[in-house]
Amino acid sequence: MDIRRSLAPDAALEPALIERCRKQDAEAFGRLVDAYQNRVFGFVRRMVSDPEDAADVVQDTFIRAFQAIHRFDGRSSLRTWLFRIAHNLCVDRSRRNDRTPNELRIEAAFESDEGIEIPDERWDPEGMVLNDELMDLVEAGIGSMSEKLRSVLLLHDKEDMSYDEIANVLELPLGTVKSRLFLARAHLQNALGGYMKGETNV
Amino acid sequence: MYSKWLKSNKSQVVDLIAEARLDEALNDVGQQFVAQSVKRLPTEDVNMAWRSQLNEKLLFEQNRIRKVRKQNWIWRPIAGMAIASAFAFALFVPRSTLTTFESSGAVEANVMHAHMMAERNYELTGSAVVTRETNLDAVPQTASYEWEEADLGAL
Repeated sequence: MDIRRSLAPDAALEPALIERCRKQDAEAFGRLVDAYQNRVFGFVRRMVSDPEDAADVVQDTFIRAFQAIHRFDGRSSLRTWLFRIAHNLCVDRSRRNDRTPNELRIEAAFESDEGIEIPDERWDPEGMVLNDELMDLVEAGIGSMSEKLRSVLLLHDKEDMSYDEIANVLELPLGTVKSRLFLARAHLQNALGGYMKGETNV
Repeated sequence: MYSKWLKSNKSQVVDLIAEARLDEALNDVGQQFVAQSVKRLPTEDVNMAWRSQLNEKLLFEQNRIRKVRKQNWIWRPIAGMAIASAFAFALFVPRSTLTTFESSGAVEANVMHAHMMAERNYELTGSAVVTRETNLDAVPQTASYEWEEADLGAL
């Protein structure tokens, strides 16, 4: 039986839970895990290719958070802090695998004339539903980019983090966050190009 | 005036232009389409087995942390007291009360005597012979030496 996506804890309740966690209250920490486990898992699952590795990384993330929560000073949000731990663990894991995918350079991405031609009837962001084919292509496109681009793309477009939050999680300048996001999307645009032109037959 | 300011802040202006261009590019239709595609990807949830495994690990970690804290609670004051005592001893105990070893000279004299005896034996008998072997008292006075003719000739 799956635990369904749980709601983030009440913003007013979270500081009290954190305070209890500082006293090694496992029950309070469990509530924070309930609130963030699926979001962290969703992020890590796409950062680490192997599902078992991903599950291990998420467990490590929460255990490290539990060990270090007395050092959490509240300057950033708990979500930002958890994603930073998760991201660092993902980077450690991917370094072991040493993947170096081919990506666009920013100049080439800007100069490329091959933008996606989106027919008007298909461009309905609010009502857009991904079919299996497009979903597979998006997943494959995300999987084929470097962790540097992937992390920015997932944090911004999937986790709805602001540029500032991402800069905080990844410890990067704001401009770098934006340029990486642009490159990541350009990479994905290339991966989806065929589909959008109706040429892909999967 | 404006051109002067522009000259001195050229790099900042270039950055601003680049950023503005980047913001514009990020709002491009194609980029927004990709963003929406990523947003609508299905979410994968963790299962109960994963969660119960995590609970076990957290419980183990909780006990470990409590144990370490308890040990720290005992050992830290002891270590602190020991360091403070060492400082107090070094600072406040007068040097004159500290006991020092004064040699009586007997040990040195015995060592010197043994050394001189060993040297004397070496001069008399050569190397590879220990004092015990050259102690004349240890040789029985009644011992009879059956000297051969050849031995006498060698002498």
